[in-house]
Amino acid sequence: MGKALDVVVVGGGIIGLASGYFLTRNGKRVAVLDKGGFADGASGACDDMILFQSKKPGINLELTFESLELYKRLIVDFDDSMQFKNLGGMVLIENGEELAIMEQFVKEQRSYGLDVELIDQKDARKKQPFLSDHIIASTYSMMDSQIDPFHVMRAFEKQGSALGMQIIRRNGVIAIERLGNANWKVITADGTAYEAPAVVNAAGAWAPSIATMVGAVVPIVPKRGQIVLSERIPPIGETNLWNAKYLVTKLHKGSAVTLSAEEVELGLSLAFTRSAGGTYLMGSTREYVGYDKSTTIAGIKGIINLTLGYLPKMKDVGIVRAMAGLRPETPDGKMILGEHAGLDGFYTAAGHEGDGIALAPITAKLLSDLVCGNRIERTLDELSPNRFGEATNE
Amino acid sequence: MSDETENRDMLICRCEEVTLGEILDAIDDGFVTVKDVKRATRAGMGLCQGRSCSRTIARIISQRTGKPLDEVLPKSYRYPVRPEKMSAALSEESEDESDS
Amino acid sequence: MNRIVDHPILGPLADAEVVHIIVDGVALTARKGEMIAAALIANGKNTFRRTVKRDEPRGIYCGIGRCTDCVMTVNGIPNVRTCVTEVAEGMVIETQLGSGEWQ
Repeated sequence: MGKALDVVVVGGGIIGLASGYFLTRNGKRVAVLDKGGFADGASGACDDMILFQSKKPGINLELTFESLELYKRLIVDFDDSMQFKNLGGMVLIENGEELAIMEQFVKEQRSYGLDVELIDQKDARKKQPFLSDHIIASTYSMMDSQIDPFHVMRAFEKQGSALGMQIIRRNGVIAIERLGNANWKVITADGTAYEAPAVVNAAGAWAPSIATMVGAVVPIVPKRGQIVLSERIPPIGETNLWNAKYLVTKLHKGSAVTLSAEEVELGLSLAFTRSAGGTYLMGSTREYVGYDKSTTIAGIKGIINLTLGYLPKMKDVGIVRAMAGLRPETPDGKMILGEHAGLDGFYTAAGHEGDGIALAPITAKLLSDLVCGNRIERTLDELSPNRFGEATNE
Repeated sequence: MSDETENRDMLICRCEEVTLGEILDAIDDGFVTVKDVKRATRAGMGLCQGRSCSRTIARIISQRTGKPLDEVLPKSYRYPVRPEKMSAALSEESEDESDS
Repeated sequence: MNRIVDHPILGPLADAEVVHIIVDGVALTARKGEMIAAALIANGKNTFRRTVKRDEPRGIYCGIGRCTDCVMTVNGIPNVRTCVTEVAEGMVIETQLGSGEWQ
């Protein structure tokens, strides 16, 4: 409107707010725009995990380490725990085939610095007394932690605003034009225009439509994940839980581990995590249904039946809510971070799939360094928006 | 206005124990719909899922910001209508279960 | 017992079968067909749980099964709405502290 701006961030989820904060802290004048309310996207419909155990070696794992360190510093800087918790995690193993594959995977993970081990049925039950009898073993790692997305976003917003960051909600971007002076003009639904030399596309699942406005390509596909929430109950065991079944089919495409028809159709895999409020977030599905955020009876029943298979005691626990979020998925499973070739000043920071909460700080820091022209230690070619060749927007 | 500041410690969301003061602060920080306030303060996320507090929160927001109620209340509601035990998913017979 | 035995409009209290319940380890009697909350209040117990954040006492609030103020741990299951749950012979009822504890 009146104020001169250095950066317009399109998207006010955790990536947009974190980026806005880091840019503002680096002295930039920033406006963050969102078409919806607070946490209306995937940031408001996810579990809170900073997960190491599911990752293979490579940039995602390295960035997760760095991001966790950044969170720890932010907790001190903000004097706000943001509900950070280190409960650890266990990946539950049901049969010999899974055990063999997980043994190998754990060995690999340990070789590149992950503190994870395999424990037998007895030790697994010590940490999780309510486990179904058919669980034969489990992994165990104290590296998995979590932080509450709403607290994090509110903290970035509050700290950023105190330094002058603007946040405008319920006003989506409808057009982006290049001006004669090489600035970008970002036009919102109510006709307001925001002008700045730099635009950051942090619109998550909606990043492709923002990219289209400037003729850029961002090959992100929404992948729906449904979550069922339990009422607040006393803790179920010591750690959060996942199942090896799904992970194993990803690691070994030709494995004999079979998923049920329902598990395949819904992309069901177990994620059982305790939220900041003491409820359990139980999930999840992986569905390609466009931008449909509905929860479905099939999805909810699928998640409940899956959970009860591992934790039969949960049958007496009530569910109070179901929700769904759209994970922004990229073709190669790595985020998109960088400036678009031929579009000086237009950056994308999106495509975190299921790791947005974990990777928000490192994404924001790298993005801010890019925009400010700071020196960056690592090469970001693997994450560049220009890496996709012949891809098109979905 | 002075009544409100005196009663800042009054509980609005009894389940999550969120006070009037916290809700007013959230509204002043720009969280101006029931959904926004819920996500910002946890008011409405507890055991009763907002049955006791959402209408009150809507009115507080409306009074403080001047926005009409229908702009402030949520547009849609999620399953379940009331809490249900997880075992309810087991008891029904359906085509899904006969396949697996 | 805090019961109205002769109501000015509803008349005298009819006889009912005695139901035995155990509340925080103490054996109490209730009337068959009544809700747990009613039985507890009749026996002089008004605090059903203590809250998670502020450790404040709660009992009946709405009385119609919506507000969840009255929840207690019943037969090992937490978050049971006592104002809409009937007493049963041998029922084990415990004041719920915060989220409660598994048995």
